[in-house]
Amino acid sequence: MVDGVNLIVQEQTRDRYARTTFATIGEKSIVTPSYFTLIQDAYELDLLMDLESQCHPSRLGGIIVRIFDAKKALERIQMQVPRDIFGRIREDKYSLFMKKHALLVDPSLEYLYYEVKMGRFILDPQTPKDIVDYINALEQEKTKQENKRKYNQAKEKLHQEFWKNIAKDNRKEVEFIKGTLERQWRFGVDVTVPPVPLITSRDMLSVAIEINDKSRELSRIGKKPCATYFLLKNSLVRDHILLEDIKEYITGNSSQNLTIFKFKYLDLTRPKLITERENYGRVMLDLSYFSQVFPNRACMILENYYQSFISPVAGFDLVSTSFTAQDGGEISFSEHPSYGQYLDPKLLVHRNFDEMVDVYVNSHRRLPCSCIPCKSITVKDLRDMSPNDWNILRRKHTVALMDRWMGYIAQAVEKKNIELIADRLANSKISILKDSLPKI
Amino acid sequence: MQIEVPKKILASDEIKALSPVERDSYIQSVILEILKMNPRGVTIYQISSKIPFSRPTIAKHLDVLVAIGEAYKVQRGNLSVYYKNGKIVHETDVKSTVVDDKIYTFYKLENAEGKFLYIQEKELDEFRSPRVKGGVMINEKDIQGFLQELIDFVKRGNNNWLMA
Repeated sequence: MVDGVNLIVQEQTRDRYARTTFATIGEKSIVTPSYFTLIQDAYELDLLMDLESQCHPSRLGGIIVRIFDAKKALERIQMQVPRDIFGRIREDKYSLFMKKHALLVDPSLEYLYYEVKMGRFILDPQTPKDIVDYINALEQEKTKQENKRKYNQAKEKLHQEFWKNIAKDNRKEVEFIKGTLERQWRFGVDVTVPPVPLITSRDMLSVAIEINDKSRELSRIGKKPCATYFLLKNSLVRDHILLEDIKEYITGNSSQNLTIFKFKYLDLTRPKLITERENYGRVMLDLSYFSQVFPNRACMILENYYQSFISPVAGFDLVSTSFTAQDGGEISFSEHPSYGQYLDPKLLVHRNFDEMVDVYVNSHRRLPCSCIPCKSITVKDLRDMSPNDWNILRRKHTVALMDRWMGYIAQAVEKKNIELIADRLANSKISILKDSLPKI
Repeated sequence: MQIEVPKKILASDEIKALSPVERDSYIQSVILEILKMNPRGVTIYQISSKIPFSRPTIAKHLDVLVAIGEAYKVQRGNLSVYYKNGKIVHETDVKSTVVDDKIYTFYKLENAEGKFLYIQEKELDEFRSPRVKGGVMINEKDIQGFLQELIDFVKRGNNNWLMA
């Protein structure tokens, strides 16, 4: 009965470590396992909405946008609410889409460490001054240090100092957190995501925990539910003591209904990562036990790459990957776009366009997928399609495939036969990920 | 008597970093949570002994919560005891209707004083989150009479709004 929005999670079915839930955020409802997609601009949002009207993906939980992309990506949603001649609210396709799907804005502060998208913070006029100053200091360091190793050491130090300075001063910390949360609220997010640092060490874990605690308190102002968020360097999946500390925090101190994890740039399909696969499996299993103790809490994992196929089997109710994940997508919409990779529904890996041209011809001019976008292709040769048309198709296909995969997991849970997923993975090119699945 | 309070709330210097409007919103939310955690009721003194807000601040926010129907007050001698307003009798006993920018939610509530129909008016705030603007509580036994009065009133005179 309180004002504001509540996140409520109810477990529906369980098969040992796997489960399905029904979650509501205010008026929106999500059935899990569910898939979220990261979008970068308004064009990708349009594509997603096209797909929604074509296929009605029931397990597309919502969208995630990085904070520095949010203005550009959500501008059509942000525009004034359309009204008819009598002043009544007229619903357009954007408001109808957002009525059904949740929106999360990721503060993406890992890019203060990984420089690949750091420049986007500078381009965004609303970036807090502290972040701008830090980026400028890093730039100066870059020009000073010729040796890359020395620069990396200096960067590591600057990164730690930046976060420790924020955590040291209570007032400054509150202003920093509130500024980020407020921006998220203005974009109309359904769940607030705390602006935590990339955890690179135990010290940074303490900072992340403190920011999570303060964000939870400050989210009372926006009257939106707030998640607990842990953003980890991929190598930390080896550090089981640190992972234990995180588990202890979420079971003992965090009362939030949603816990979000992100292991940045973690790709467990690489054969060498044996310990990582084992530890990731342990995290999944522990979170699954956690969900038995707290059935009304959900866990989510962001930017999950190929792990998206296994994470919803145990521990994680919601998963997300980018619309363009691992498909060479960044260059696909450039001035001279190329043909991006296609996610094979059987092999569960991305395949080159040239391979798909052969597959198409050998399968009597059909793509190996039964989703509506793939079935609608009638060209004689895939090369007759423009790169843009191909890229639109394969992106819609990726979301449709993920939607189907989530449904497949839900069916296996309902049939009390979750091993079906391991069997399905055994026939794919990512069968190595089976190592992470619980063996009980 | 000890009362339950949220585990970690912002410290005084952190609250000072908030704007006055944010501060009010934060304090109100904390007080509401305290009422929720203590179904046997709390007094202003009990709250002020546990959290770093002054007694006038707590009293002001409790009055607001009572005014919008989120809480109610029972006078016991000189002592005012505050309670979180009732629990919903059944899950189906909630209905919302949207009229332009306003949301009206109807609840069938039950508290120590009896059963009530509670009509709450909410508005979407700047963050598109519903915020309670006001509310009216009608005792179960008075509903019939209230509705009759309401219909008679809107039909009264030449200005019959039901015909509009």
